[in-house]
Amino acid sequence: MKQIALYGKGGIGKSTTSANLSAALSEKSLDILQIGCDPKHDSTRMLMHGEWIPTVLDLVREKGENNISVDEIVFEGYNGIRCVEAGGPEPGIGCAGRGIIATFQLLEKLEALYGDVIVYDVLGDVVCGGFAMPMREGYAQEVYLVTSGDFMALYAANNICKAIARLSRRTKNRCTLGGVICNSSNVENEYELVNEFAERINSRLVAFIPRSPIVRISEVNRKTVIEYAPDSEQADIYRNLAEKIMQTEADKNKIPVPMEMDELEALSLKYIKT
Amino acid sequence: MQEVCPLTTETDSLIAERRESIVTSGKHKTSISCTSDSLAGSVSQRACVFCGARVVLNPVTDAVHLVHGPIGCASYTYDIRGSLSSGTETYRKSFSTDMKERDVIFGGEKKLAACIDELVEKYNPPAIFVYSTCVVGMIGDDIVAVCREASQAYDIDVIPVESSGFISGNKVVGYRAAGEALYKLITPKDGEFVDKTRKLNFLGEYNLGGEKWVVERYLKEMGIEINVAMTGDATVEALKKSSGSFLNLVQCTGSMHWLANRMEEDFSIPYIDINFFGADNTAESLRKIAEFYDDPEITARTEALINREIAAVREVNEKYRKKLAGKRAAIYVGGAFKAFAIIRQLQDLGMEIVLTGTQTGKKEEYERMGRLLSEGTVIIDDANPAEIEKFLIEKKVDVMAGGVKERFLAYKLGVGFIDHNHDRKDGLIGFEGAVRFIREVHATTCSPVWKYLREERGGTE
Repeated sequence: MKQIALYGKGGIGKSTTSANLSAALSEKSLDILQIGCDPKHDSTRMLMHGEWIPTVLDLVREKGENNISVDEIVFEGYNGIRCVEAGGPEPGIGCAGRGIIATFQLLEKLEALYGDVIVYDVLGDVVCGGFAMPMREGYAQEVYLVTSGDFMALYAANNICKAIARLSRRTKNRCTLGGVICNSSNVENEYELVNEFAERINSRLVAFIPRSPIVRISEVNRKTVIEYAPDSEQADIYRNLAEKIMQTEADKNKIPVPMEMDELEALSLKYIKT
Repeated sequence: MQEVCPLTTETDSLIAERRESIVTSGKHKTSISCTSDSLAGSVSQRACVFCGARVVLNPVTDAVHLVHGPIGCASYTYDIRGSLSSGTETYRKSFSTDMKERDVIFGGEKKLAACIDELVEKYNPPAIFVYSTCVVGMIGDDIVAVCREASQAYDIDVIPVESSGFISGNKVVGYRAAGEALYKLITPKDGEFVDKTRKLNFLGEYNLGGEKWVVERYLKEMGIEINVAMTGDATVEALKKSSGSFLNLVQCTGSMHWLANRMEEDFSIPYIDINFFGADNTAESLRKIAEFYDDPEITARTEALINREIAAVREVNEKYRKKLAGKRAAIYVGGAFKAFAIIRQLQDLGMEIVLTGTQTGKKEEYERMGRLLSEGTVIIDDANPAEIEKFLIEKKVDVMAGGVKERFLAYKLGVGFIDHNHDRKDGLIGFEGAVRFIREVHATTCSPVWKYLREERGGTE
């Protein structure tokens, strides 16, 4: 079983990328489980054709953690992909991080964590220990950083890099940095910039996803690009990403090296045309 | 006057960073390091911030004390004091919101509000204290807003106590949180008026085993009434009248000086420090109070009372002094006022104080303590069990006065022990308390059992 996690700045396109990645993987006749780990619970919506599935934490709140069965929290979406949303408290109250930990404990207890590939789609900023959960305890072996050429997106990616580097010092750690995915925001010299960023943090660029209107069109049709426009160029880009990820093997000896703030600024400056 | 305790051998059990919190009384003037956070790894004898707040407030008898947090916080501090009540016993129940993982994730505000609703319906209390614990502070439940809403809805005082444990490594921060909660309760609200009286408030008195009542009896004989003690056997109604009192007595200075100062500023009530532990302290305190009232009749009655009572204590003192003179004593208690009192009482019995200290003493209190002691006495701030053990052995201590956490250490080392803790069920205050204290000191110090234990240990005799 391969377990991967996508992290990156809020709004960068993690959920869109995750859903299309899962859809592309499912075309390879693989059994896929996608878990949305964000209180916004919108990770799997395109796979579920716009349906908001009940979240694990909604059910915990309503029924208590001892009265929940697997089929109440795991929903089958596009092409047999199994979808789970962790959910969380309402904004401004409680502790969402603890919610992620509770979700993982429950999924573990219900033996719901199986399949050929598990895709964890995680909240943008690793604000506390709870959101580092998918990286810990041997869940995800590979983390993919989703970023664009925007400075703040690179900054967020670099921060997540720090978390992975810190975890890699622990014994029995299984989490590695699988690579960087550039979800383009049409910044100048974006490919070169993100490519160099990936190298500088001792990783690699695994995909450059150009900005395409078809993504938005598919979304308003409540579908992934793979489903809505299977013959589009964009669909092939997601398929290539899926292929590359399946070929990747976690290398525990390759530890990411986060950049210093001034280095990151200098790097961004280098690719801005004046 | 004092010097830093030198590190002796390599097998020394002292932690290096703790050296400046351990001094020896004497000619040199090095002041003790105190009032700081406990050192990590040192296993302080102090309790947490929340616990500090709860010991101060819990004796308010008719209030509901609601601990907002996981059940452990409430159960480990359940009925924490030996405080007695002349009326309702609501305070002895331990109420908790019993936060579970679900409440942590989704926030505990609704559950807290529901608990308050239920408690109001069931007990109809005049006030509710809502204590914040660690997890509540972590997840940011807005207990202030919940309390404000409940206060308005039920027209009673629902008072938040900001006592999350992690806000400090010193439980006196909890005393302060309790002081602020009391201050909120006693401050008259807009449009409220409190009558001025000749009564006094007795701050830092917790009515352990009825101790407040003993002093109340003395004062009554003198012609002075207590409005309310803070917080022993206090009712919410009496507390709310406290801003009209004539005088504040402060006994436990650590927990109540802040509030006494606020009351002096805001309500123009002066305060005096008194101490009713030990016969001489009691006599001096009563005279101080009489002097403040400046009434010849009160003075005459006070002197008559002291003359009558002190003779009985002197007699007991003489009797046991013969057996106790020259014995070596250790004292480790929470606050300095208690240490002062015990030092004096044991010295009156001819005993030598070789080790002392407190959990929460302040610099000036340690200076005063140094002046009471003979040269060479070890003084420890915020001691840990290893330090107490080391000095109990090194200083060949015969008897120790302390709290519940020191008791078994003393017993295991074959050292007599006098319980001076806040969960005592029989009082040590006033003249009769002094007699009880002397008898207890004798019984434990001269118990034949210790010689067997000390022989086993190789003997310190």
